[in-house]
Amino acid sequence: MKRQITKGNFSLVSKELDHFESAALITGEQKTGILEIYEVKSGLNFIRVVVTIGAILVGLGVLSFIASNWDGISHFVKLLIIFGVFGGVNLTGYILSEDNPRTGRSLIYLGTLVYGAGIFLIGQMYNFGGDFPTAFLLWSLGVMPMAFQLKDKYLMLFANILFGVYLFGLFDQGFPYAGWVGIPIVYLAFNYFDKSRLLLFFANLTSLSFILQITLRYEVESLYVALLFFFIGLVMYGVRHNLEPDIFRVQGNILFGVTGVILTIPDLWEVLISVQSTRLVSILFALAFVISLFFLIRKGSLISLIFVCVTIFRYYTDTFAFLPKSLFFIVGGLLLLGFGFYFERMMKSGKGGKIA
Amino acid sequence: MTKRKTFLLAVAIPFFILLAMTIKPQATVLFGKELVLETKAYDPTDLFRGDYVAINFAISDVPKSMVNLSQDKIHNKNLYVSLKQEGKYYVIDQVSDTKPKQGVYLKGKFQDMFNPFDGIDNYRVDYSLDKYFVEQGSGKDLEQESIKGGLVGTVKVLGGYGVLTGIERR
Repeated sequence: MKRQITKGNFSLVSKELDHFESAALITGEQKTGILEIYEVKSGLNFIRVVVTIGAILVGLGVLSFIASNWDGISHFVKLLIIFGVFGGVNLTGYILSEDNPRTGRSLIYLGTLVYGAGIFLIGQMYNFGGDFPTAFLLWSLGVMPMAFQLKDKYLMLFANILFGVYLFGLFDQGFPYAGWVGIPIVYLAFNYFDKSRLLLFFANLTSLSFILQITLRYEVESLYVALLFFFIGLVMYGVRHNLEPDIFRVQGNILFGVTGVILTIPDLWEVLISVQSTRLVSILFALAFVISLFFLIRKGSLISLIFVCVTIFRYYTDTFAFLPKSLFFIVGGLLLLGFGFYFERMMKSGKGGKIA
Repeated sequence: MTKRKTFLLAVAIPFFILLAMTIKPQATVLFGKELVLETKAYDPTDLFRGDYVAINFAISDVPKSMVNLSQDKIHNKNLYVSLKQEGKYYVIDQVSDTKPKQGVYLKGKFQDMFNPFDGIDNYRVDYSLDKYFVEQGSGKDLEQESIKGGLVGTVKVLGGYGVLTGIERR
């Protein structure tokens, strides 16, 4: 398989190879040989974007029509219309897939939205109570066969997101058993859909929200939940592997960043230590957290920089006692300025190297 | 399987999911027993299903004295609430954790909830009968009506499963 690169990178490579050729470093044959291993990645296709957005608009219109609950036509007739439109767009989409594949595909996308509208129509017809999270599970289940049939990663992404909405909606409503089946499916899908990074990203999000649901279900103390996710974040960030490491690193970094900031809240620690010392423990944690973030910033992690800022801001808004706060911030700031100055001088005199 | 057949299957699965969703509620509407229940109501909106009248049935508050089960068998569990007719309306008769052999009953999820305002110790029961969907904008009248003195709801019941089929003035 050819190596896929973007148009911009391809032109850079070919420009540099021209330069190598003119400098007599490589022959013209070698140049063409090298260029042949690349393939320009197809970017967004304009027609595809237009028809897809068109389909989404029509679909949202149908969803909104159902939600309006206009009583000009009865529920039963509406249901028949939904069935008719669902069958119609899928049939037309199938017929068009030969000659106008993009329009055909967008009609099938429309079908998945019409199907969703059908679910909510039924919920409305029979006045289903509660928040109806099952709707999103059923929606996801109905989209998935088509995603696999067409090997369409965007449909699979849609199914994954719907499944995520279902897991989130289950908050306080019983155990999300479907997760035991759904989580393996989203990872299998990642494997099946040519290892799409997009799908892996959302598959990870879905499993994280499943883990969160389990901890909520068993009423785990919030300190332990935060510590668990902090740890998961560190593992995702730190463990070396070959499966799209940058996705795991970014998600891990954000995860331990967010949970790290949460862990600086003193009240959280009450379950573990006596009330008098929670403040001390949380501040010690915050210091260790910020120091390790600085360490990561030095290794080039910009996300860590954001969390340093969030942590500082969190302490700035924390208390109304301005005088101690003022002292804390001035001393902290002076320390950082001093360190920075020291590093800058060290690098100037030393062997070079770079921060970031 | 040919591509054509798998495509057909991919269309048929959502189609059957939709059909299957209607079986239980439609059977209840057709063959269920009709009950009239006392309610209170107000009018919010759901993003996908539109405006609805939120309904609070009198039978959703079960006094703790009526439940003779141990605490761990109640909270977050599905129990059966038997109903009996008193005048026009149906009211709670008894609560059990096994399916009653006879009479009208509803299955609902029990929550232990202490209401500090009225001081009455009740269980809150979710029968999934708390929403009545209406055309956008038309829920306000019902809400007004509800403030004036309550509404009554009509529910069809089949084997512990209920479908809310209508609400009207008392």
